[in-house]
Amino acid sequence: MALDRRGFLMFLAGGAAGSVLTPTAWKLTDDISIWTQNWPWIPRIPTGALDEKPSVLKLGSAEYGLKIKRVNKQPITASGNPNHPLSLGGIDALGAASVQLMYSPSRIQQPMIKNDQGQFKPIAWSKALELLAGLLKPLQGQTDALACVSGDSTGSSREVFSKFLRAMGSPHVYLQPADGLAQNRVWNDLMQGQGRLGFDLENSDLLLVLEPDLLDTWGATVKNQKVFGRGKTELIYAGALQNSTAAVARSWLPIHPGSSGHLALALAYCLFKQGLEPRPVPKGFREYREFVRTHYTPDQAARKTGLSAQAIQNLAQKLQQASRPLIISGSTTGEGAPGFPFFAGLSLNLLLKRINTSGGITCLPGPETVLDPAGGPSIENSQDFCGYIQDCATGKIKSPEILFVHEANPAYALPDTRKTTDFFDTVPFTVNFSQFMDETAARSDLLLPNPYFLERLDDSFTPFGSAMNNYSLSLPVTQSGVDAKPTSDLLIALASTLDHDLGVRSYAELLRKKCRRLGADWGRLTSGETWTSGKTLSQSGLTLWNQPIASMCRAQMTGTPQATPGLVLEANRKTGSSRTGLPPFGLKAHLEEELSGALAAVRINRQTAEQMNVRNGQAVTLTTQAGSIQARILLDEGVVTNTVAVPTGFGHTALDMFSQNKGGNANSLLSLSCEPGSGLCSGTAFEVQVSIAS
Amino acid sequence: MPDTQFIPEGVRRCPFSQFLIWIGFLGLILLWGLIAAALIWYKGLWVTGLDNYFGFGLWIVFDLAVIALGAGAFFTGFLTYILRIDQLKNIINLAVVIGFLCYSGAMIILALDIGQPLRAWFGYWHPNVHSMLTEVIFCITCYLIILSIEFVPLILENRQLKKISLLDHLAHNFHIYMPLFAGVGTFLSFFHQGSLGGMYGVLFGRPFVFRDGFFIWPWTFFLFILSAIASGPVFTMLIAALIEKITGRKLVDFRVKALMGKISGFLLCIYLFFKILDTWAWATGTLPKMGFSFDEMFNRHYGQGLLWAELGLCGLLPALMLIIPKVRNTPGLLYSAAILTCIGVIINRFVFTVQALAIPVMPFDQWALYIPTWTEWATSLMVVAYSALVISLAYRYLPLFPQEKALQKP
Amino acid sequence: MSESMRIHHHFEIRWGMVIDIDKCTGCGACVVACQAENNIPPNPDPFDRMRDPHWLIVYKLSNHKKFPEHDTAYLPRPCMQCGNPSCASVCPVIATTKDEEGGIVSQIYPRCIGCRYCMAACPYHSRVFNWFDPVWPEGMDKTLTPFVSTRPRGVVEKCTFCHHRWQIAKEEARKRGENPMHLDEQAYIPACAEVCPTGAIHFGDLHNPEHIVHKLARSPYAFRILENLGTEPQVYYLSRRDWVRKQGDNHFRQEEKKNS
Repeated sequence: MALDRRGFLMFLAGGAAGSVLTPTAWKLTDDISIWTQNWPWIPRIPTGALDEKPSVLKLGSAEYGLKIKRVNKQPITASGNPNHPLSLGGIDALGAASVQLMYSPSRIQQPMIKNDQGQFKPIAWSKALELLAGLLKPLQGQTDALACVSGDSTGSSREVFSKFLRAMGSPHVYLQPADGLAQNRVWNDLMQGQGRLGFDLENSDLLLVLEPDLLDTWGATVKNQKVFGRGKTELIYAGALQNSTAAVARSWLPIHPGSSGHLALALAYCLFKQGLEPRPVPKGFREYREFVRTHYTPDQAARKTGLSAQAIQNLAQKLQQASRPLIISGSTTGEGAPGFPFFAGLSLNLLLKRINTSGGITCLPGPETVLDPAGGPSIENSQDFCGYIQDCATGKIKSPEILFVHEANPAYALPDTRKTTDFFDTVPFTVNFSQFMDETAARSDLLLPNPYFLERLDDSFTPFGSAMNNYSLSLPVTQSGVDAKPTSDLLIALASTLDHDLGVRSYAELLRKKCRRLGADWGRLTSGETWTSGKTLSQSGLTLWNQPIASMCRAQMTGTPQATPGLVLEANRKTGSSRTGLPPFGLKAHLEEELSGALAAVRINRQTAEQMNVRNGQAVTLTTQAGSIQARILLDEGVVTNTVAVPTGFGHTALDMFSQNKGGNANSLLSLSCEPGSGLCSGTAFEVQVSIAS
Repeated sequence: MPDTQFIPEGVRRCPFSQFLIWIGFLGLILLWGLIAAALIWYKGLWVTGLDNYFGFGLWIVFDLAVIALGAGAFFTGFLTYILRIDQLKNIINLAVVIGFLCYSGAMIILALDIGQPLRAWFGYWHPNVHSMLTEVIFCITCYLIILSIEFVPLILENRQLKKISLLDHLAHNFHIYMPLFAGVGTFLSFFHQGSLGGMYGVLFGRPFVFRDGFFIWPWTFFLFILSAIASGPVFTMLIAALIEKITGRKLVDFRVKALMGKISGFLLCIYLFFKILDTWAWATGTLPKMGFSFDEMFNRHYGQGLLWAELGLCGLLPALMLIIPKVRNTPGLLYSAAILTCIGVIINRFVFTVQALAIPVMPFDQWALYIPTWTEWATSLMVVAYSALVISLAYRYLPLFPQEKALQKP
Repeated sequence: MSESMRIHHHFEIRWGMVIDIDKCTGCGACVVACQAENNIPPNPDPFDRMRDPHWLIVYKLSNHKKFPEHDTAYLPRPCMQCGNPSCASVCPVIATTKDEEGGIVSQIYPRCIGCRYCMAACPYHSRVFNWFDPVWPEGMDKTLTPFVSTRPRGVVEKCTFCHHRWQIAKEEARKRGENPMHLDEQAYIPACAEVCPTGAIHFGDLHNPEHIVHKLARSPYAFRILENLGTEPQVYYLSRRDWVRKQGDNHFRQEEKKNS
């Protein structure tokens, strides 16, 4: 067959026309563009009605009002509640991640009991209660047989626990240690102050922050951030680490870790030099002044704090010139500290007449109790849980037969992890009301999951740091997706099985009664409003010096100045709280440098690195008396020389894949020590050894 | 040999069994690449070394390099059919095959490189006329069609296919229109070679590659054309030499090779003149205007050595070697110069792709480092193996080298 | 750059952000809120920034001085929504454009072919590629929002100033019979700006004198990142600290002067 030029061109044209006219190509391309945006394995997004429900964050960190956005009644996102006095529309990283945290793969799905092989098996609620009642019955009336630790210091559940344990004959109700508890104990027990401490940051014109991370973990964090954001308050930060607060403070005064108490007393020295005389004169003023004059001369102070004498004097001058200064002291993580820094800071506030005054410290009436109005000391002023563990370890108190763990993860979060876990191993039967399979839950014997705070009704009375008393309800915004029962209701039912009447038939009834007692409106509380009260307690008999204070302060004088690297812990809300793991949605907020591989970064400055002979990025082992962790060196000039900054919140061994295999648990580096005078037990670390990991 | 009747008349080829071993060897590399490709399509691009900083990596370097080196096809075509340099007819077949392989290989790599291969055709359906990449997509596709059309008649020259009268006529007609295709091909090639350079030159967020220019075309537009036509001919010539080396047969007259070298040499000189001028203007004008210094463009991994190698060792040196007749006419030196030229172009395409993305632009950002993974190497080698396979088949069954018969006579 | 390459856009509204670095504590609430709002999948290993999808990240800046002169600052980086975007013009398939009133650079996921040319073009690293198919742990997918579709692997994504919130705000304005082109400052605010506890992130119409950003962007302490490149970002930063402002751009000439 011959092909001429004409034929050839027709062949080309025909081929082209044929390709264009066939529908196959067009149909296929159309389909492809549809398929490639609708693959079945890509999650679909919901459609439906949007609404917003108020609630209050209760995860062991700062508590404040939330607005939960929902679609078809399913919560999707959280933002701050502009009408809540401690949020004002702001939120922290943990609050923002709280809706998604509810669906952590580590959620405990139903009540579980550990079998002989150490594995958890589901158990029916009725059976679990029956079993627990059977175990509790013979322990009634035994003082040391039952103990409870709770991480909820603001909710009425602590009343239920107190009343329940008292009915059982046990006084051992404890809260997870925190700055607020320690500070109030110093105030009430040592300084003879009345009520609970509030901090009126809003009306202060100079905030001197001595170590705590005011803008990330301390007190009413979100409110603090709001106040800072208005820009009317000058912020000065003294600490061993350039943390979130230092990053935005007017100035950062680098001091040795844990030396803020010394700085406060050094400032007192300067104020005395400038002729400051408080009126009325607090009890023990002369002795206090004598102590300060003897031990805090500029040279001594400079040695103790690492700050120059001139800088201390300048700071004192600044304090004196300010019209409404406020000193805030505490730990860098907010998880509790010895009493000395609190005392030192409070004494400075007292000298500067900052008690019950605008922009100063407010003394707030304690919470109204419903179940036992006349009952003993409120639990936050009783001994702390660390002290209890110490006493059990030394045999001062008999270890409990049964331990209740409520809204807390002490096996992870308490200092001296080895000692703490040893304690848990000695307890024959631990009942855990946790929502998550955390380190403590994994060590427990019976898991009776409490619904997540967004799934239950609960309350929040004046979280630590708030300048005013306030009361709001943490309202459920969704049905629980797991088989959980509210712990407070469970205890009320358990009590009645054991023939005890706690005084209410349900937790809701307790909250209603509390509301009535406060004079608040239940309807308004349930619509997300907050009851507030500006009432303060006038103070008489405030004390600056007495026997316990003296022994507490003198103990500080015996410590040697730092020779080996010190340790400063840092906490961030994006890492969660002491109760939660790393929130899945908080992880992205971390800086890339904070974790590489499975090692979290510990920060030291260049000079320290040279002294230790380590390089940036090197894998190291940190060792203290209490334990050791693996970490990676990150050079950061925002850390005081001869100091290692270690992040907390990492090193989880339980919980979900978002928490696991990330860094080491900083708490395991701390030794538990109890302070003379105050009796406060807290974690401290001396002599951190840094060695290159093999 | 079982395939004797398919082998062009009058030439000798290796035993079929030996050929099969060679094909089997290539097949293994192909298989390795196919496994990598399947893995990439199945699991996603995270199995490569690419990341959020290096959106482009080895594949794009490979594509740019083969497209530049494949420029031998259009430029030799241009010289042969349009400028009528008859001597080049002796190598034009090979140039066309290499061009076809470079472009089709690049397409295969692109199908792996883009995140949504099924949407690849969106480039034609939703074209953005402002994007240099759109221009590249259109030109490369059109030019690949042209190259296929240019390749078809060569296939039809096969001894057995030629017996079919329709195909014979078809081949004849293709031949008649060849200058037209060569012309269209030249036009398209000029544009996309330029657009590939333009793709980088327009990136005003990337100080390493951004260039001023003429009207909508940054200087890189012209520099990429020049570097491509300078290196394409010697690459074609090198492949011819490589085939000769492997087969142990003389296939192309050395004078033709030297002529290719000469063409490259002169073009390389022109290219380097402008490239050095451009580098100077960039270092002293463009960069400071953007707030950067020359030194900030280099680090430990991406050092100035690359630049000096590109401009000096693999630029000026081979350019000089190729324009000096005495050097050019010595086979060893000619091939060395050709190899250096090709390396220079590859370095150029590498730094424009990878170094450009490694440099921190925000002052608080950091240098990044790109290390390709085996999947990228395997798929790139797969394309090399595919090319070797096609060339081997073409050499065995098609009259690829018109001079072959003549050159065999002692 | 040559004038011919600039694409000028004139919009009546120019949505912009002014981020006060001196108020940013790096707490990360904005990043979390952004992730939740825009259905960015959680990742057990987000420390690999090179592969992790994120729209808003926080950089930690250092003044590079030795202890104790060291200072640090945090810089949240959303998409700059450049007035002259380097990304939009290079996209071969018109999957990203700057052509809508308000000046927000769009990103159309079903159109994107994943060539990553836009990522190569953007000097801010505002664009991320979906290296993986998005996965939410079982149950956590219930928290997907109806605002932004989930993206399959193989496409590029970036911050959109929570564009859906603008759509909602406009719709509501129309319902109230108000002019959707003249929204109240509070009517449309991206998730990050809404939750920021220190109020470091301001948002509004840079053209509207009633909006605070109009004033803040003109502050002597305001700067934009990489202004020298001519991208004309619609995100401004504020800092009273000289060293922070200096790190907003590269300053070859100043260095030269200092050295001589």
